[in-house]
Amino acid sequence: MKAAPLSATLERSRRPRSLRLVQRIRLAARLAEQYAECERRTEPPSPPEAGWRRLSDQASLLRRSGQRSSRALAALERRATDFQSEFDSYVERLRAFARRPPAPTFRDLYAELLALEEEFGEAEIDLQGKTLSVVTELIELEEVELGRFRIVLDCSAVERAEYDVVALSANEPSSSDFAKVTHPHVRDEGLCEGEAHEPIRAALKQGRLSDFFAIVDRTLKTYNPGSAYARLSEWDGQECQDCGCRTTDDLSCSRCGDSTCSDCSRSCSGCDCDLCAYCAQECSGCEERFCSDCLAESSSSGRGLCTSCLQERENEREADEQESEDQGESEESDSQPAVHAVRLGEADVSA
Amino acid sequence: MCPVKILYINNDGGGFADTIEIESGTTVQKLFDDRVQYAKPADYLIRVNRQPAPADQNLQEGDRVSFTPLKIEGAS
Repeated sequence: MKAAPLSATLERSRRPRSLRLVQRIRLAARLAEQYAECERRTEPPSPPEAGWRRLSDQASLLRRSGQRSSRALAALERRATDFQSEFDSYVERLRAFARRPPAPTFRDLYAELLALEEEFGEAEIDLQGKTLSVVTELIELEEVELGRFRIVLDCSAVERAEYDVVALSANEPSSSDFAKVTHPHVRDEGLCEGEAHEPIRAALKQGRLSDFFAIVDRTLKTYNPGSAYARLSEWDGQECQDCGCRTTDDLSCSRCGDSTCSDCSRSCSGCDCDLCAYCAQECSGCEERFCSDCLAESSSSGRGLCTSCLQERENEREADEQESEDQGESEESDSQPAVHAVRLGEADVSA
Repeated sequence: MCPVKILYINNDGGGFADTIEIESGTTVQKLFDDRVQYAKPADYLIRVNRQPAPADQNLQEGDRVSFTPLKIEGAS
């Protein structure tokens, strides 16, 4: 890695006696100590001793018992195969350990802080609070302005990768369902990293501070609608499916689930549930609006009728039937003579 | 062409960072084509020694090259 000699770096640091420069040097020195301590604590991977013991025990057992059965030999072979894969994995880990980049030095970390300032314009160093932070550009995703975010890295133990993403002018979704959501992937100042999880940890483990901030910044500038705390389409309320306006009324049709605004939403006159224009059906009797559960099809007309209109129609029909029955009977009785001809003169006559 | 060692960082996927050997005279574009498949350089922030670099820049011994995707999908 090409870098200026340490003496030159320190020489440059003596020239402008600004607070920022001193802070940068102090933070780089503290972080370098931290990484060096981490490096001292890092141990090479342990060989698979337990697997070896299991294999040896199995072999001793076989010898002691004098068994030469195919079953016992198969068990030993299984142990040997298990051990082989454990050992292969150990060799891989050992190689990775040997190949790992060296702990970042003061010079590396100082260069990282400089690169950070170049990319973000300014990096705020809080030596007392042990934080390093940058501010993103104004972030706008799919025409929703989310504002600027401060990415604050806890420098007390960088390898733990603890950081906050603080909205500087929070534009939270209008619905109360999304409390403390300031970005589709940020809730309660925590970024849900998704694809960024591994690269973030790798960057901080290796002291690549500018990469860490760049990765978080790129994640904030990317929208993944498939996995978001709140979808951007719902940020400024929802679209009313009836009139197309944006609404924060939080109303939806109980039948089809479409969002509606309060102007377009209507209640079922039967059960009082919320309905959209499409699902609210008119009763052909009273012309009130009802949901499909509260409307029944009239057997005579085939049109929807509410319970009371249906009952009314039923009563009317029964009354009509009764009337026609009565009429039929009276017509029948009209056609019969009051006094039977054959019995003429035979009627009792009171004295 | 003698090989040169560089620190190669790919912030995609698992966040790969390792010292690799490349042929001297290898350009940034060539390294990208060799190492990052199914992607375009325009979709990455490409830096050499922490500075943005042109595609035809020749890589030197000890260079630090990083590729950071411009789009990284978060979750919930």
